[in-house]
Amino acid sequence: MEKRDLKYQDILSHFLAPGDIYWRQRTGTLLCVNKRGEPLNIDLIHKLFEGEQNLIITNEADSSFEESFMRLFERYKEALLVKEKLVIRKEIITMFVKVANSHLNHFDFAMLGWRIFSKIEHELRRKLIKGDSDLFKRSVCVASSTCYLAFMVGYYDLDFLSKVFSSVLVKLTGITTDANRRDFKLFFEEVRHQEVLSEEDSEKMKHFLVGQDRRAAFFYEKANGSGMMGINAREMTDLDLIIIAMNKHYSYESFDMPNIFKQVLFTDIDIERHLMEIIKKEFKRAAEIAAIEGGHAA
Amino acid sequence: MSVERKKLIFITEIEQLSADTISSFEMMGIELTPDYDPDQHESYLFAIVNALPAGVHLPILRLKKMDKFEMGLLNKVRAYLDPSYIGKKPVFDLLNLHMDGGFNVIDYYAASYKNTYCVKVQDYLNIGYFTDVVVSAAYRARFNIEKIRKYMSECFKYCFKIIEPYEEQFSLDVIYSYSEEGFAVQIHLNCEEFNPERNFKVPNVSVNDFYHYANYVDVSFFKKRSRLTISSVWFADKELAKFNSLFFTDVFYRVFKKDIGTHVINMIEDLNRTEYKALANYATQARKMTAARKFAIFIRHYRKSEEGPKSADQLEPADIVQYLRSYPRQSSVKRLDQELLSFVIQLIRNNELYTGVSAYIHKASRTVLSPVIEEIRHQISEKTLVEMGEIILSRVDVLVDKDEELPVEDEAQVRALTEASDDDEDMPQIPHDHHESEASWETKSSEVAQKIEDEIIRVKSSYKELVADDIMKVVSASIAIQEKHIFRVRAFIEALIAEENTLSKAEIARETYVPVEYDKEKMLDQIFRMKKMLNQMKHEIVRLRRNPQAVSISAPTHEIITEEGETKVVTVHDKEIYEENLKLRNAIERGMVVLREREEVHSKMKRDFDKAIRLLQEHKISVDENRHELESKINEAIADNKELEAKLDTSAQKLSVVNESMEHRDHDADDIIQRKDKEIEGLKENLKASEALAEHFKSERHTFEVKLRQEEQLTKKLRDEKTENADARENPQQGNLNKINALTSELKAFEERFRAQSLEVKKLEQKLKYTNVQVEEHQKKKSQMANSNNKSTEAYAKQLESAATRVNEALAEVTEKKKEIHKLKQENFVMSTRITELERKLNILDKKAS
Repeated sequence: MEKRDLKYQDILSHFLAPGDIYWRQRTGTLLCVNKRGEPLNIDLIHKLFEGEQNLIITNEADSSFEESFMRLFERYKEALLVKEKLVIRKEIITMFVKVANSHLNHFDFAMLGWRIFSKIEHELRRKLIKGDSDLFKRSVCVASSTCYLAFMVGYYDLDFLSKVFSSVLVKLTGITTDANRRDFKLFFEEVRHQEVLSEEDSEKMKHFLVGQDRRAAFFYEKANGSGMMGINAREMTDLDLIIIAMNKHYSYESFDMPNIFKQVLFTDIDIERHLMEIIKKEFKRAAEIAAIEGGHAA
Repeated sequence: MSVERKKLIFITEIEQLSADTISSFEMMGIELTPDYDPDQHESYLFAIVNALPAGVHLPILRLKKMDKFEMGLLNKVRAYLDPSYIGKKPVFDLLNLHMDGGFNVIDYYAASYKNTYCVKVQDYLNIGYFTDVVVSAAYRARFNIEKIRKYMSECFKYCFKIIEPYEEQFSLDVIYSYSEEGFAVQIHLNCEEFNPERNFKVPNVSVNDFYHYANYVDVSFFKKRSRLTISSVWFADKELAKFNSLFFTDVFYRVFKKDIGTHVINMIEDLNRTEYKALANYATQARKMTAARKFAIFIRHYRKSEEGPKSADQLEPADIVQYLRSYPRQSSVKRLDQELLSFVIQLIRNNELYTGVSAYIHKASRTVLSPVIEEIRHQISEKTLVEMGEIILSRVDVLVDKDEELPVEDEAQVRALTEASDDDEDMPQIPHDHHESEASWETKSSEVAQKIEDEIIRVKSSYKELVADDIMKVVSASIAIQEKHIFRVRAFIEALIAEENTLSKAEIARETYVPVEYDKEKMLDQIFRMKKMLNQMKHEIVRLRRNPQAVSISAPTHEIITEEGETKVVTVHDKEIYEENLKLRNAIERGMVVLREREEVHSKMKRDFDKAIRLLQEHKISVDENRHELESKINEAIADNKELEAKLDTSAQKLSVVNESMEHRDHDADDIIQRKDKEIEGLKENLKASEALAEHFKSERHTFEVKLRQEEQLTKKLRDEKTENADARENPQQGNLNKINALTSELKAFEERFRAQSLEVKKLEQKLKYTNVQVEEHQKKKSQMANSNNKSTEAYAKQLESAATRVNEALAEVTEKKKEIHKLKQENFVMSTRITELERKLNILDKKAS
């Protein structure tokens, strides 16, 4: 496992640890400051850097891949014409195919989503992480997966996707309070698997949403219209369907999952059929392009 | 489970529609009815214009061609349909699905999602690009892109005009799919409100600008999601290019399950959920009415025992509250509100209202499925207590039967009230389950009634006696009814059976039962009897007047009776006779009125029969026409088939001729090629010989050249010697000169010979060139010939191929025609069976009419 000295500027853009971070003490012993994927203990790290202490990072994700991914999205953002955007979009989807075939963890991929789509301010981020870091991590996964899939099905405006990302993240993380956090997770984990929401569940859900934004109930709607708001698949937009499918897909308990594209390609996730067909069609096209490019390179 | 409702369209002048249109609607499961039944309000999809005021609240369907959709009528006119194409298959299929509700055009036209695509438009500037995307897809799928382009462009403008004021960052979801039959596009956008005036006529753009570019447009608004969906379809069939339809559908759903406010227009419903139409608030109001009656009973009883009670007209809500403090069940009093209080006061003050309410509650708790109670129940649903009271008051005469013992408060009832436990259900009251089960029961009961009626008709048609248990069996087998509902069904069936039994007796008496005629005859008999009696009486009066002695009247008292301004003097006996006579006359007059009414009913029925017969005849004529048309088509198809077969034979003959000629030509071409080859061989040999000769001459020339050079060198040497020895040898000069002359002459001769040889060489070279050219020309000719041979064979092959394809096409056409013939035969068979069925019906109707 590769170790390297950590620089302060390396972690400024992160809010969750990009790898395992250790403090090398004067005696030579290593003390773990942050585990990978945990919320970054930025105060301690800042203090250690101020004290000119030696910090090392290990178990990092593939930074070269991340950089090329980010560069691609930067190019996409800078492109003005739709035609240009669509050309780069194809490259990005080709990259998604690579992601699907890689061992990239879903969380690393979600982190990339954060870097691309998030416009959440530092203070709000701190507040959300402080509320419940696990819930926050889940919400990041849901929000970024939603944005990736929305991008796949044709939503091409990154500002719009940023708005979606922020909205999903804030609403999903801020849905609970300290008092009912445990019950909330247990209840929603149970509800997540249900195909039909009963009257009793609706009542319980209302109870959890007391004093909250009632629109948050929308995330737990069911395609058959048995949700609390009673909206069915016919009334939903493609984006609504993706949001609901992603919220259903991610567990409240376990985070050990492959990345979303791997799951879309190799295990069918529960999403409306026409959307699944469109996503698979896009993947197929990108895979063909990749194969042709690979052939040329050879 | 979803409840399938009967679908109706309210139309007053059904004659204006063609038979095709009517039959198409019927095939869609829609009944066109000229009568409006308020009880079936939810079943009406549309009212066709020129409807009576009864159906004015229904959404209007227009069938007449309109250049522009009147915006002022948008609150009423919700659909337009060109009826001339309704019978065409693609149009019929699409409209059928639309009327069924809950279908999606994208799914319908996508071949299992293979041809489904979506784009999202998030910037006004990109409209053109995405329009091109959709239009190019339509072009690839071979649809008329002109209309699609215009539609997309205008529709996008319209959508942006709606969405722009509300959202800074937005998205239009555009989904399109296509099949061989049609191309469908659906645009979804967020829209806060469905206001036809505002949303359908946004500044500078309106639905008018684009709906006529598509064959089908449906603008649906989903209230809960604040979403507008514009669906459109273009048919591939060019004959349907002029077909046009437009539907505005607003779909309201319940936001939360407890909130009642479901109102579905156009039958678009969630298929996954059971949607019984509940009688809103009926159960609550019924409970209130029962409670008010109970309070009224208690207070009336209490006031009887009170010393010097306040007058009922002076009672105030505070007094009622005061009385009810002594009410045994205080939990019931807690429900008391202003509405209930005022209603209790009314019940105490107004005896008629009290009697009516008591009778209604009494009947509703005992009678099951009584039409009067059902009617009142429908009328009082969604009403306040005061309004309910007014309705009941207006129907008191129906509710209160003089022969029946009315439920009045008595000691026992009051005792029961005071002694009862604290449970409302113990008291007789209107059956009110949960409002949803009430609604479900209502749906079931109508279903049951329909089934029973069907069964009775079936049994009657097979000349069997009706047996209640049989019907019960049939009904319970066909409808799953819970046990708690069985008693209601049974009571209803018994009521029906009782009716049917009397009818079956009449059948035995007259073999056939015609209710109107039976009554008429009865009445006529009665009138006849009465007339006879009247005549007898008149005769009696005349006789008595002529012979007053014949009557033993002890004290004839004279009385004056004024009748029609005339004064007559009659005896008491006369007066009695006169009164009896008057009574009889009145009875006759009444009988005549009834008879006239019956005659009117009868004439109306006759008119209806005539109308039905006319319609059936029209239908028969149209069916005959269709049959003739089909027969002519079959004949045409047979003729076409023969023609095609003849074409096939001729093309086969042509093919054989072409094959033969090709064989001949091939043979000739081989001969020519062989000859040419031989010539080329000869030329090649000539060439070789001339080349050898040329080589020979070249070598000779070379040797001569060498010799010439040697001679020249020798001459040069001799000249040098001559110049060196010129002075020294003056005498032998003559001999040398001779030698020189000889040598020069020899040189000249050599030179001449050399020239001649060079000339010869040049000639040979020219000859060689000539032969080379000839050889090349031959080779060219040969290659050309070979090419021409190849070309001709290719051309023949092509011809052969084209002939084969034509043959294949012809074969395919033949098979198609055969299929068509088969189909037409099948249709013909179906039509003929239908005709026979119609003829049978016509006969039955004729019989009835006669």
